[in-house]
Amino acid sequence: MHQRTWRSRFSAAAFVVAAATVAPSGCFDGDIGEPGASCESTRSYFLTDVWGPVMAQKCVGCHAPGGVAQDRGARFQLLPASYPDFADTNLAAAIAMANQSYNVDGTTMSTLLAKPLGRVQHGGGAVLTEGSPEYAALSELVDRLTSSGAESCADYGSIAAPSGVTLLDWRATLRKASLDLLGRLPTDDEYARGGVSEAGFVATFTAMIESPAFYARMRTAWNDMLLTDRYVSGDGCDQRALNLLNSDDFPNRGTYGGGAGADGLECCGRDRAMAVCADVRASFLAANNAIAREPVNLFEYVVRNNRPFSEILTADYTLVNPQSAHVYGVTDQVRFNGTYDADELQPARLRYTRVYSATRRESADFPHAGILTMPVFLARYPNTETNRNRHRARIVQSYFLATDILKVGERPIDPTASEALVQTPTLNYGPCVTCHRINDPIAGAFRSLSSFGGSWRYDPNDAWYTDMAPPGFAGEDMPGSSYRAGLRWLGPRIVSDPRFAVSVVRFLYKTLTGRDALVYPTDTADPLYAARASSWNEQDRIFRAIANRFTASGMNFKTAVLEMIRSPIYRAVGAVTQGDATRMASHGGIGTARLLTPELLDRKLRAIMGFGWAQDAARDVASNGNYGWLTNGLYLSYGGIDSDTIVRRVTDPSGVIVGIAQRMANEMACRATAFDFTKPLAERRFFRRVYIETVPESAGQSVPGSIAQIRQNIVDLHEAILGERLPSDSPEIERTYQLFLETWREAVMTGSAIPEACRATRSPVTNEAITPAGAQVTSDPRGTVRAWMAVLTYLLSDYRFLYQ
Amino acid sequence: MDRRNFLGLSVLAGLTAGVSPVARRLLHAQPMPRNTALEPYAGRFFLFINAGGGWDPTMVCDPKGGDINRQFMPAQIGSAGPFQYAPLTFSDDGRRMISNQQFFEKFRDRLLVLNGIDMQTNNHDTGTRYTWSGHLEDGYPPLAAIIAASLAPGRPLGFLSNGGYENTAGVVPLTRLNSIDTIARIARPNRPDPNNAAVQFHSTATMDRIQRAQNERLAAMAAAQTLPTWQLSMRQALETRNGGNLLERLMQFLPSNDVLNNARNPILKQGLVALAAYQAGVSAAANLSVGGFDTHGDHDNAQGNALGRLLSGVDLLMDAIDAANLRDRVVVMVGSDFGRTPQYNTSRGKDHWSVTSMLLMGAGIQGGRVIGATDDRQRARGLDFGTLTPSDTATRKLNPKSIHMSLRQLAGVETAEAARQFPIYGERINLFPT
Repeated sequence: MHQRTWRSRFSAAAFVVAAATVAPSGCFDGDIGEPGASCESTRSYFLTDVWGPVMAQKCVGCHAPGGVAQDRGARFQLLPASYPDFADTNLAAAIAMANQSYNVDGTTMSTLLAKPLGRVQHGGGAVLTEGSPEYAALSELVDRLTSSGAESCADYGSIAAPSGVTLLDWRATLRKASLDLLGRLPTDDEYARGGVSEAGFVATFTAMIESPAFYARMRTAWNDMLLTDRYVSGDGCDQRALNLLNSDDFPNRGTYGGGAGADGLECCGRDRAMAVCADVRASFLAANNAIAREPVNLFEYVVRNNRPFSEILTADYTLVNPQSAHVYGVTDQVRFNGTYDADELQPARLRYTRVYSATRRESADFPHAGILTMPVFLARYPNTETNRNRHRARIVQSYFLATDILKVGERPIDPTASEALVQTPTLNYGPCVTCHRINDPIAGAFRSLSSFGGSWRYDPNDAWYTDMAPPGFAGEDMPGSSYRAGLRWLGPRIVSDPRFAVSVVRFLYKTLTGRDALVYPTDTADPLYAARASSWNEQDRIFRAIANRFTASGMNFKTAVLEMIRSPIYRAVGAVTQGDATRMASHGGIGTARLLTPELLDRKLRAIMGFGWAQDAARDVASNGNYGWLTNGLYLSYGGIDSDTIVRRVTDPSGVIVGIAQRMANEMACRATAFDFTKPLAERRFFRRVYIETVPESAGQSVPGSIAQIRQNIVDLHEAILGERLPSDSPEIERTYQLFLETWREAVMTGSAIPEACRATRSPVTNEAITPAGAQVTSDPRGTVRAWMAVLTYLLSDYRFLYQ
Repeated sequence: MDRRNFLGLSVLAGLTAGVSPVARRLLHAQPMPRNTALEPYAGRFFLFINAGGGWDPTMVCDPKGGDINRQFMPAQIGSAGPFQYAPLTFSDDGRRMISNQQFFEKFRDRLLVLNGIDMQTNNHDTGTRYTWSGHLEDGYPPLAAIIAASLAPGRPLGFLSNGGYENTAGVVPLTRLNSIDTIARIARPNRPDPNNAAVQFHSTATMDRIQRAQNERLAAMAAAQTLPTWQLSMRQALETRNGGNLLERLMQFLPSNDVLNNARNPILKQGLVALAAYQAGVSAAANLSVGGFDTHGDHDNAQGNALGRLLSGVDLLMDAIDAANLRDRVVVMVGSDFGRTPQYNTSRGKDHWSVTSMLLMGAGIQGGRVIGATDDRQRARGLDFGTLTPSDTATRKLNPKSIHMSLRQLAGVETAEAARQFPIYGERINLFPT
């Protein structure tokens, strides 16, 4: 009786776009488990039919934490939708209540019905009436929860495509994912293996991501979250990370200072100009940046070595390079290859020494807990005397438990009440307790790393506050024996919490789309409430499936990446929704539609054009692509972050961003067009179907053969630059051809000059002169260079190039 | 796609609200004509100056003295017209000194002080949001964004930001202009050398042709798109492409690098660029921001340093506004996350306190007034919303909701689409009588 065939609601319709496939069938929100399932899960029913229409409107107002019902000691407690796990927690509460009953007038009635009907003592009185739609919905829920049928509809989520949603085909998915995560186009062989089937895609892309480019991409993403690059320096005498260490704890730290070292040199001062000091400062820099990047290095180490991602919070080691190993005094633990390569990292365990008095000192292993105990993490989220690690607790929940504690506790405070009426409001004043009873125990786990300001010192005997909730997590108090290493106790508990996997999925979603996960709507009076809820359900369904597979893989991060890329969230590009408002409502959480970050656009340009958009071509080539406009001079203006004061990426295009993109397109087209014509046909990147002499008209007459070649070259360009495969008679090819034709006609009427910057005398790829000189293209007597330049500019500033 | 069809989809697309790239405003907008030159914006300009971290009004405009302010006694509190001020002098990072006395004497006829604002929070994020959006809950855009979306849609720097509260909720793009060194390259994308008008990548006719083709293609794609995420992103991209012609105007007004380098105060430096953007007609509102106010330790020194930068910056900025003859067209508002406690902690610091103040000056603001008050323990006093006088019998207190309702009225955006999508349900107060 609980079976509901959702597919029958919507007939599949044919909808064809280039490089895309329409899911012929599949699950819709409410379907369960893997594709092909067709019964609606109890969880889905609860959310759709009970939570939104009934409990969110009739119950949660009193039964929420801090609500009237809680004050009166009610057992039935509901979490508002601002809690990340509200759905499962509330369903569990409903199950518990549904399976308790009262004898009402000689009839057994579930508590979940008897209370809201007011048939038994209920503080809120009768809030439902028998026969109402709300009662019917609640009654069916009780029926589900008290019958064995519920077991057959367990809900694990699904990444199946919603009916009628158009997805990128596997070839296009491979191109998109390769550009996005690897900064390159797939090879022909990779297309052949990974572009025709899901199994082929999975196998091929799984192999492809084992590359440095993937880790570079993810390092950027991890820093977007952690913001610890704030401590990365470009000058060995700017020791932002080293300054966090105390020389008493790490005596070698002193030798990395600006004062005179053992050799008597002051390489950050008096002797700065001496040649030998360049190497000294380089070692300072290597040490500083290894410490600054410890968290991101650990993320990469764990993922690269296929270790459980949970190690980011539980690892009993840190990572050091030769220089930071020296600073930390752990060179005895590591074996480097002897080259003092700053990029070579090894795991090591730190030791601490505390000198309490002349006769009492303590020395032992430092209680590592992944990134939680790293100097830059603790400094980036500092403690204060009154904050008492609460900010760190909030960050831990936000990053690793998918919980925004501020939303949970977001309610007005009354300073009069907090100051005058209660002692220790965080323990005793309802509006404060709601949040602090969750947050403060986690804060307590940081108790031995509570030094204020920017310093990083471990004090195993640090006392904790008596006017705060004791250290713990999720209702479990930390045993006193763990107080000296509270984060080693906390880390395993966080990663065992189901929300940890959810947080990983949400992180990936933001990394790939630039957006935060949808928030379940709370305003039931909003006319769009049902639509928003439906959208959330669909996204949540996919998230849970990915989280489950991530967990089942032993928390292999790459599994989560692959699942996200396979899912409709990454691949959805359209939907059969014409005139069907209800169906469209469920698709607000899928599809990427992301303005490329400056880093992504820089990498995409290099992959597709063969060279970068550089401030100085010579320096860019010499630095192996590290001198691009988008990653240097225009980085912040194009929406980048500095991890210090600018920490949110701009995700919406502004006039400035549009101006930058237009300039990029002009400059890149300028440098690429004439240059491509200097090469033999077979070696060209863009113009393999035409010669520089191929013109569409001659003596005022069309030249059909040439026009066909030009149009086919335009087809190639659309695929090469935009990744769209179009027939040569499509309106878009016609639009581009008309741009070519009109520009060509104008060019042949206005002489043969092309701007000096656009003349092909040097290769933009190697910055070497093009030889022989006769191969250089320095003028445009036939007008084709300018016409093709216009086409390249047009394509490089197209939405499909600038977004993904 | 015809407008009717678009609106049908757009209502549903609101389900992605809260997702940054989704411009709610676009959902209800008429499709804009392509390749049409926008007129420079010529309405009022709004500068919102954020004192990041939670400032201490008792060291400026709501002085107490004694155990609340260890630097002075109540008897030493100064006055200028209706204002009371703390008898303190601050250093602008050693560049110049500025005292409260100088500040309040200078602006006594122009300044409106709002004291005793009940913030209902002592959380940084929430407080910043409440101060600049007028709404406690997440997801509301700052007033700057609503103004830019309503008064200067499509202008390339409509909402210019240097930090502070930046969650635009998608009503308008946020623009950062971190360096003016490159603005010429951005404003003149068709010149290889931005300072040489004689050489272009493409002829003007070709550039127009390219942009026309771009816009036509994007409009066609948006019309054919049926997934809300993609469709709204395309429409937003389409709209943003129309402001390019105005960026060139910005070049005419930007101060030189020498001027900016000499303006070492961060508020002044940010303000000069913002004023140039306004004079060019490309911006309607800007966030200026200065930090250092979260003084949990060594409060008197640290807070004093931050206040030195802030007050000196405001002073210099007002001079720049006057020099540009913009006194009657620019509104300046100074605010912060919240206030600081009436007692010191053991680190000589002050913690978060949910009562604060704001300063306002400029076009449409009747100066020489103080509205709202705190008691001797720095708690917000009641306010008679009719007479605007403190009242111990009044149950209402001055609050950001009511202030923003007035500000929206002052800006003329109260009924604008962006404001209606983010309504504020508060108690009306007439802070800015005409």
